[in-house]
Amino acid sequence: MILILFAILALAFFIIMVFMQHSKLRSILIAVSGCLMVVCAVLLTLTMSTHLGFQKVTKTATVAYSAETRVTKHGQGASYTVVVKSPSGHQTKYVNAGPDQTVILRKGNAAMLQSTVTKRRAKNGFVKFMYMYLGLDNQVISSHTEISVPDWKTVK
Amino acid sequence: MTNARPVDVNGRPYNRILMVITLLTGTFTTFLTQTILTTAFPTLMRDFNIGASAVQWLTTGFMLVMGIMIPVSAWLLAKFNVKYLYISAISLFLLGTIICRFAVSFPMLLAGRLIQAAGVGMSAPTFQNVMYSIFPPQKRGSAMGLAGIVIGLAPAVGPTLSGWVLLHHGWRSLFSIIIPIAILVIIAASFTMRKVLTTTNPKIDSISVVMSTLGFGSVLYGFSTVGDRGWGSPIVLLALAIGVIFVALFVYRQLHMDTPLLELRVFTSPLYTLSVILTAVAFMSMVGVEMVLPMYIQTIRGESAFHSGLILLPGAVMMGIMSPITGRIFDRLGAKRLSTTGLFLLLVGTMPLIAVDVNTPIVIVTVLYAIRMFGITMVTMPVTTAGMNALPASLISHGTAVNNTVRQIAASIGTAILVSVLSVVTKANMPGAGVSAASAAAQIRTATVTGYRAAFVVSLIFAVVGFILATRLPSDRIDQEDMK
Repeated sequence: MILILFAILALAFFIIMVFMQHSKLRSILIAVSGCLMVVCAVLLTLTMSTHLGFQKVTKTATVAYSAETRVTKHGQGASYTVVVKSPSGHQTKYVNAGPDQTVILRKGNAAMLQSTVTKRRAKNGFVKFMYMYLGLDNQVISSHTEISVPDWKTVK
Repeated sequence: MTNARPVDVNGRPYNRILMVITLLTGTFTTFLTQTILTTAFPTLMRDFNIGASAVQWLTTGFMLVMGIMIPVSAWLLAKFNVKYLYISAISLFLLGTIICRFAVSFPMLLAGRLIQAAGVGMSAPTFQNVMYSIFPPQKRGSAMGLAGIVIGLAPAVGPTLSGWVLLHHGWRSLFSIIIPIAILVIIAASFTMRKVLTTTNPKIDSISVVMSTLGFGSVLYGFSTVGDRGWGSPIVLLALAIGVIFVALFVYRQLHMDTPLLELRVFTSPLYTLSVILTAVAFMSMVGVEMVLPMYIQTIRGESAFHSGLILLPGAVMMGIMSPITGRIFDRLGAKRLSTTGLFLLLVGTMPLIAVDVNTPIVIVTVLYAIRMFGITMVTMPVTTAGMNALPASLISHGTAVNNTVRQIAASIGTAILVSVLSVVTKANMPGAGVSAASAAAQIRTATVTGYRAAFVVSLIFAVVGFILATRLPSDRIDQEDMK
């Protein structure tokens, strides 16, 4: 929404500046549209640099797997993917990619998954509205997953 | 009077629309080649087994030859029939394109590219001069608006177009598609072009040509290699020193000649001088970001050159749409309202770019770039035309040559400054020894993002300077009437 507003203001500013005759109304409209454009630009700058209007929300979840769940590890070293296939055939992929997105696969008697996901969420409805469709709300900052299974298959 | 059929210098009528279409097609094709090859660099490096610094010469050499040719263009225009000059320029360009198409080695490809550049260096000022001459001053804005479509749009769509072509075909096809268009332009030009500029048979001052070639060539070379070598490199410093010395000698000689190669007395017009400075500053901001933003999209966001072209395409399209519109507005109003509006939009459109990071939504980059281009369209062509309108008809070819030379140098200085700021700030923020491999990768990424942010800060400064300069332009007709 902020981008649409920014673009509309740019167009309005152009029309007012270029086509309107000298008048008090023109001066007021220039000042208003110009100031709003600067406000939009500053808000965008602050949102991108300090995440103004957003907060970090961390959620921890534990999921118990059934004994028939199949786990496959694809790849080696620091970059690998873990695929968890449920008895119903549903597959979930977990990627280990750097310090902010880790997947640890370990042997355990009970098959289970523990995940800690930190997301950036809009602080209120107004911020959510202004930044909708931009992918900033609910943006994953970090995700740490620990999968414990008795055994898994490794595909190199 | 303006509806009367235009006539050439011999009093013979000609079709202005067909002539403009021919010129626009030819210029679009030649300007497209400036950027069309950059996407193919990795393929060329593999095919010819060459390194990044060697392949870069296809762009650096192109720009150098173009920069050297432009100051000579005023003499060429005064000496030769513009019809044959334009046909020769496009023929030279065609020859270079054919050599590139069939190149069996890298030196052959480079030679073809340099011949292409000589053609572009001749055709670009010819195109501008003809456009200024065949339209009366009150319609020059609209004419230059049309020119803005090709000058602004063609280099911007080059990488996207070549990226798309390279998805399905080899790099040679980039030249194959240009060859028939160039042939058609030559055929069309032989029928539609007329001698619309008077010739005077001036003598060429070879010392001035040597000074201009060495001076502008060295300055352009020095600034274009700063990004790779750094400001402290002896080669960069030597090139810049040689360049400055020869440019100074060239200026001195031109000011003391009766019929100089390049008439620098165009600067006695304060409006022309201000327009050249203002356009140069706007160009520094525009070209620098046009260079740095695709680098950010490709290196930080991991997008391909084709996708980076697509991301920035709305900005180029915006320029294409707005150029004729701003041209018509300029004819009605003047340059001040347009340029102050444009530079304000450039300023606010650049501001958020100073905060880009690895997670910035791409749509933000696209919209900001489009707003920037929206603003730039209101500055470059209207201000240039306002400057040209301040000159007498006899000085237009010199005004165009000076303006194009300054623009070319400003573009290379702007790019050099932005790229070196990017490189210096990135290096300063790099992780030190003893950092684990995992966190080092993240820190390197952060350092590079910091470098890009700093480069955009510099571009923002250019926009601020431009905005201040635009306020110095004389008031538009509409405002003068209101004041009365």
